[in-house]
Amino acid sequence: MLLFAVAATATVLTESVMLYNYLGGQALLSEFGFDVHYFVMNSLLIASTALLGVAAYQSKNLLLFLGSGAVGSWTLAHIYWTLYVYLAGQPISYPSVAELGFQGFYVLMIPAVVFLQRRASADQPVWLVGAVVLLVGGVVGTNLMYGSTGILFGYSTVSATLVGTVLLFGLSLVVYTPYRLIGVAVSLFAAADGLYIVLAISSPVLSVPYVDPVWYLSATILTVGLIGCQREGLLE
Amino acid sequence: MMLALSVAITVPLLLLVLLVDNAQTRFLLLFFIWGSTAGFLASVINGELLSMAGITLQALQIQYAPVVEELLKAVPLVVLWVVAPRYLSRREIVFAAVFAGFGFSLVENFSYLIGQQQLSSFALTQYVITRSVSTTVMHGTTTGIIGATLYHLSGDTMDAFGFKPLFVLYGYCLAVLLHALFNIVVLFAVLGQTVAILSGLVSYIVLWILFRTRQ
Repeated sequence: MLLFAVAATATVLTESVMLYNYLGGQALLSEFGFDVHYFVMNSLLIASTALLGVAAYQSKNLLLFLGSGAVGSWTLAHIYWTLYVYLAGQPISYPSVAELGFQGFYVLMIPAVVFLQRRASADQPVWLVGAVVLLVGGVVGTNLMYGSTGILFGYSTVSATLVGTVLLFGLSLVVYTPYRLIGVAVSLFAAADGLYIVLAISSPVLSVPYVDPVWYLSATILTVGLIGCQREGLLE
Repeated sequence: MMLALSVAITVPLLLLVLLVDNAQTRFLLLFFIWGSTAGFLASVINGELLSMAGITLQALQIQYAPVVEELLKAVPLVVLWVVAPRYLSRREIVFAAVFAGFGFSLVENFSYLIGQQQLSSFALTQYVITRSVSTTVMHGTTTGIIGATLYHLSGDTMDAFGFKPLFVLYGYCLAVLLHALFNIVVLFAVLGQTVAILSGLVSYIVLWILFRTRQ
């Protein structure tokens, strides 16, 4: 809970500063502001990974292990992304090798959320599978409509499918299961990544400091949710 | 040059494989041989990427090379996964994966060594030691991650979750990312090299503890 409190405070402070600067017609954050922002973000992500890792080791619970691996993958990718910004003086162009780590989160979360969905509810919502199929169709259709080809077509289709699947299953966890906090966390995470993908397709070299707090806040919510459920015996 | 290096390492080891009786040693040696062959193949592909795709050397190092190299090093693991999955349930598969990474690194180290002939004998030794405790361990660790993923998937531990190919994909993604992260850290002058050496040593100690405590 302390981790979540720190993340929530950091989110409120960062968003307030950015809003103040935006209304004042200035850059969202100063150079020092970015240093502090990235330091806080990476520290909270590392702390979430470590907490989940330790909890997984102590409880021998595979879901906690998956959570730690998923957040850890995203964290490593973000550390890589941050180092690139400091090395090159600008964000890395999308898609980059960092996306393997960002998508690693979804690659591990898909088995986790599907497992939780199956475990919690005998009646899987009928809309869920249909929504996932519609999502894949929508992504492919949009790519065809905009004439995307090659790597961008392949990558945006795969990543949007992964992100969208986790978003839909996350929402289903919120509505139909006792794993609400986990559902909220993965849905927020996926919504932020979905927004990033949409923005990055039109502008491949970009940073989104106003979205960043959503990621670290949802990583801490996921940590609290997974450890809380494990302590209540809901993950056994 | 890379072809000659690869052959110089591969041929004596292949001859050794024919002499060795112990099946486990043969298995590990074959993975090491594949690693050194992959080192040659990677240099060819990376060279083509540099000349044909028009990317910079830095972009190659921190973006494209890790994708190519991790894929090549993991080829025998993928082949075993498809053709003879029973081998993956043996713990030696993790060692074998590390051997492939070390074999790869040996060829790569030699090629860098040849490119640094202007250095004094002491500086050259220092250079080789630095690479041996950092880059070599990194290559072994990253391939070891893919091997460990396949080893754990071969049991029934993860059966409840399904989606096994996604876990394999995750292992590969993690290996590429760690490799790319290592390569980008090294570019940060003195501090970067110190971090690279420390991370190599820490990785080796962690691997050593994991292997020893689970025997």
